Amino acid sequence: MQEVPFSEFGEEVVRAEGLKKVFSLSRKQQRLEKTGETQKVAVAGLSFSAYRGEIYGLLGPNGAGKTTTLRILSTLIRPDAGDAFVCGHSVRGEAQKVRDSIGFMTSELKLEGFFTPSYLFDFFGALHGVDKETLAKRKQELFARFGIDRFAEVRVKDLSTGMLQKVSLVISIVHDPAVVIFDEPTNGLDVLTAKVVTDFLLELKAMGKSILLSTHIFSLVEKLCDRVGIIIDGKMVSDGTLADVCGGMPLEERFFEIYHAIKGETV
Amino acid sequence: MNDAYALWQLTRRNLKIFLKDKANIFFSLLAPLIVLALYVLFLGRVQTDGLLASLDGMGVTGAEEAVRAFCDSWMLAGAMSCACITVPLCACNIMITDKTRGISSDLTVSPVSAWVTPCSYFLSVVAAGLTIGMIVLGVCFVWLAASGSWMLSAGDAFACVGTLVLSVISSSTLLVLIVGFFRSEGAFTALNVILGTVIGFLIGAYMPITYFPKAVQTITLFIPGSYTAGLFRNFFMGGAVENIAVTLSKEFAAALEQEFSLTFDFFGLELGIPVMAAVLAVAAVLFAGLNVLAAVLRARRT
Repeated sequence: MQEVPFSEFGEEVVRAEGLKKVFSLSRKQQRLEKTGETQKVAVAGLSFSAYRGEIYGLLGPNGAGKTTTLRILSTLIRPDAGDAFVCGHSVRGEAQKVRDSIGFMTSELKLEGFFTPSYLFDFFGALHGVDKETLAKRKQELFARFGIDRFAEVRVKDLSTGMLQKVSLVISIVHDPAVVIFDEPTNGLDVLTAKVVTDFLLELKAMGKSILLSTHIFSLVEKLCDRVGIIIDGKMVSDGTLADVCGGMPLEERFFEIYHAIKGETV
Repeated sequence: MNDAYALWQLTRRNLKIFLKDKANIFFSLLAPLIVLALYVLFLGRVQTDGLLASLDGMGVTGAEEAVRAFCDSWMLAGAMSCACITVPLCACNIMITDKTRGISSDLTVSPVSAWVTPCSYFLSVVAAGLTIGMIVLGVCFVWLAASGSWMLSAGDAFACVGTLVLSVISSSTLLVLIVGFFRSEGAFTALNVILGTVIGFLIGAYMPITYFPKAVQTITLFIPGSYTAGLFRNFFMGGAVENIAVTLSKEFAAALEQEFSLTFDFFGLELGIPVMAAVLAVAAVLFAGLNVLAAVLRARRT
């Protein structure tokens, strides 16, 4: 375990150091991407830090390497080079300890219809090694906070989409992780459900959690993020507070200015 | 985190998902139900009439009951053998849905050892196979008793349970290995349909394997399911064959044993019950080893 450093932003909870990941491309993928290359560099030496109690956004176009970065931080895939530390634990050497510290979320609903929110909460709690007493207390607290308590014993298939999303989100933090990693939080969601998610993230921040999210939606970054990292072609091209990155410009305008400067092409 | 407790929770969850999905259970029993339906509709009569005609030719009459008991036992052995393969296959569905719905990621990011999730899939597939298999076996025993075709000794009945356990473990190791490579529900459904359709033929549930061309018979020797069918036939039909030998004709009983594959001719070598059981056990160990290897390679690839 590494010593967790402090900076002007507070305690550093996530640090990526020169992360690199290369994927082999199948013939089908080569055809789809219209390339003869057999490999694709998804992440090319990415470094950044996120701090306690902040929302950090990874912003970039599709295929920029955002999801790969988050999957490396979640220990779902191993980096080919570099390392990342979550609460001081290396994703390479201390994957289990990293998993203890994170909650990994996507906008997909991953719930079996015939189970109840209560069963699913207990099930994932058991997987995370939460003892029964703590689990019961935490269930009561989180279900009440997010209005799930009245539906705790209702089968998931009978819940509204918004409630389903809440259940899915609450289950992801069953073990009270210090860091929440969220891949494309509002992707494919209708406006009402998207609001449930964004409110949930702000609530998590209020609870003192550190949140790392990936998105390609400018308004989401402006609404939620304290700091942002812009990724293009697997490289971090700008990183800092929204004010630092934008330099007084609207985020969207600033992003395309950077994008055109790097890619040398118009959209 | 206690990996054993996580394994128990995951296995229970997988099994619950299988048992709550009534449609999946129905489709897992489709092949045995087809065997049953074909037998009731015409296969039973075709087989019985054929055997009675042969006996008539030998000047033996009044053998209806003995022949019917033999044919009933043959059909039920086939249905049981199919169930030992199709039920574990359908129980593997959870491996695919977890992958396609992203639940695998949630399981992977939980702080349990890497072996726990794959192992829970295997255990739940075995548990599903044994649970449904025991019910099907019970139904088979009731059928034989109710139709007056019960010719099993207590030892045969227990051997059927043993065969069920061995066969389910053996087929589960192979199926979990194969399904582990699948990434889409479409591919899994295709496997399910193909296997569900051909398995009855390949293990001789619809008609004896000896009716097929020599090349097909040779292929069946390399399918573990054939040995499951061989064992079930021996235990289900052994009493009925003995009855025919005692009450009708020894030669005819010996010919039936050969025609209905109670023993296997493995390139000139006659394989009996112990060898069939050994083949299933070796297959289980071999495929279990390959499962471990596949899991290690998958972990390294990420």
